[in-house]
Amino acid sequence: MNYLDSEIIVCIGSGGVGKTTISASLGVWGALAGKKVLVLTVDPARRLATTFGLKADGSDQRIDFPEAPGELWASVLNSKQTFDDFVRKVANKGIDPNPILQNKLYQQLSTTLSGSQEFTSLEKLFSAFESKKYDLIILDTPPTKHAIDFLRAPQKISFLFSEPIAKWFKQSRATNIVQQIVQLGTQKVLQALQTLTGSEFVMELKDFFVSIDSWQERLEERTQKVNRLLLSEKTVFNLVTAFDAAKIEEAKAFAIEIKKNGYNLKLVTINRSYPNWLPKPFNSGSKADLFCMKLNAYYANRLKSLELLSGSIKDLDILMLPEYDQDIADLEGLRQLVRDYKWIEPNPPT
Amino acid sequence: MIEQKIIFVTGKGGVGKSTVALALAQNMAESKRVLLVELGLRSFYGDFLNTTVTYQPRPLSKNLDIALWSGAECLKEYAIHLLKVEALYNLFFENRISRALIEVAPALSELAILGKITSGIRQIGPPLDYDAIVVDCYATGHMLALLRAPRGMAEAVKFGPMADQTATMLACIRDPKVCQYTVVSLPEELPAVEADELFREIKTEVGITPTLICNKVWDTEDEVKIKGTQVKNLSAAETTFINDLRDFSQRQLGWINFLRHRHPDLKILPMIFSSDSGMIISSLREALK
Repeated sequence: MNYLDSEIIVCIGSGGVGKTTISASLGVWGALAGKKVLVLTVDPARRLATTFGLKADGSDQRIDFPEAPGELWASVLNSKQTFDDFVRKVANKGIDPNPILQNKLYQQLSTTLSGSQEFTSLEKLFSAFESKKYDLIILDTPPTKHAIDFLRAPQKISFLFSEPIAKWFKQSRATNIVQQIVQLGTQKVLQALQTLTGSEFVMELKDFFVSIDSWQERLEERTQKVNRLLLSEKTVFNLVTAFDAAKIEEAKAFAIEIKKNGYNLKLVTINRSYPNWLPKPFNSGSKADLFCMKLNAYYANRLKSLELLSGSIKDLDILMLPEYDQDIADLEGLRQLVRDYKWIEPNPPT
Repeated sequence: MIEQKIIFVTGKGGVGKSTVALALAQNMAESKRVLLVELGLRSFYGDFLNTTVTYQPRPLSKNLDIALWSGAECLKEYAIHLLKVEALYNLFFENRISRALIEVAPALSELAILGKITSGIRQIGPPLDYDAIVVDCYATGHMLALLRAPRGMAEAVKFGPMADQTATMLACIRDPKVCQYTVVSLPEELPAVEADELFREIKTEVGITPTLICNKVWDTEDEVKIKGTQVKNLSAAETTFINDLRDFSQRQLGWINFLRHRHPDLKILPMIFSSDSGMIISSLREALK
């Protein structure tokens, strides 16, 4: 398929596999093909950010790319700010944002890693999509130990808001016997929570949920819309992985899980698969030649683990990329990466 | 007071934390009872060693057990320990809302995991009967979030069981007699720069100087040496290869020196050109001795 005709490409994968560079190169590929592309990232490779003069303030910034018929834009997410912006946006409807912005647990939630980066990157993705300003949006997902964590985050948050938790904390009077029983259970649960964490924590928690109660509906609606967008045909998932047997095995398990959950996984990118300067052996018998043979054998052996993946999952395109002798730090490096895209069947795009 | 060492192994994603942690754990297991712990929901060692890894430690080799700890399971165990009444625990954990709450509540999962890792030394919950625990920890950002979780919670909540627990955890991760931190890097720009920063951040956070390891260093010294008589016989392609290899070694050396200037005790581990997990681990173990 032609990936550039999709509206969103989500790049997922565990930490350290090069998602950010791959995302940026997909952006360059799109701009070269005449598209107006936005690349969204949480944690840009520092040198790329410096080269492009990107500010980590969540704004959409145009990257100077005169050779491209399209446009290349980038946005570096700031988790705390996106969260605060979201609270204020909701607060526009006559709700005071200050109690929530000042809640200690909110302050932790919006800055620590417990799903907040995942939540805010999806929030930003949806805003950008809704703005209709771009032909293609590429989302570089936040670093997680396992690729799977990213997809679980929105569900976790959506689940939390699908229940009226604030009501749970409110001591409203039960009017009938069913409610009384429910209330009794709720009190027991709260007591258990208090035993576990202490009363101060429970008070903070209560304040937190009472504060967000007013914008819960809006949040839930938005979470559902984001989920629908992620599941739609407009969105393509690109699983980025490193190239050794254990990582490929992990990628395989993950690919199966993504597909099972109904996401549109079409592409696996295997990054840094072999050094781009590695030649075939020379048959000269020199030490360098022996080393060259050893390297070739090593990388050829790793290639076998690819069969693990392509053999077990149907209709998956594989994009293989070399390892360069230097970190990619500018547009030229990204363009070279695009030139080196090596597509493996079944359906390499034209 | 029990004596136990806790070794946290961290670094940028992809540097080989898990293989280094395994080699370290196996070396220690030659003379001690060791537990190797992975964090999260899915096991790397399960694929790597073709074995099963669960929450409850299982024997991997002589003197070495292995376990996989997730935040939810650690919290559950802690809850049973504290609530004692099984029914109350079931009520709490079977409640949809409390389950959802646990999933997103800030830093709760990090605290539960750190609580479990330090539970032996703090003598809380089921005994952890090991001389050493080697933790194949999170990558940079998440590792720092883990170490900062007790301090953050201590600032937000000052009284109650939660505050008491976080205070003892804090004391534990800052105790140089108990905790050691190992930062793994590669001889490349991004991992090296990140490792250098992580090294300093850990030191600031817990006051303990980490050990720094540079992993996957190619040994090409012999290959790039060209003797006078050989030069004439070399094809152009081979000369190019030797030059590329020499450039590679130079860049590599540059990043090793970058790390060594800042951290003179830097340890070097070789790149193992093998896909065989047994071969990789035995070579790393040898190099770590």
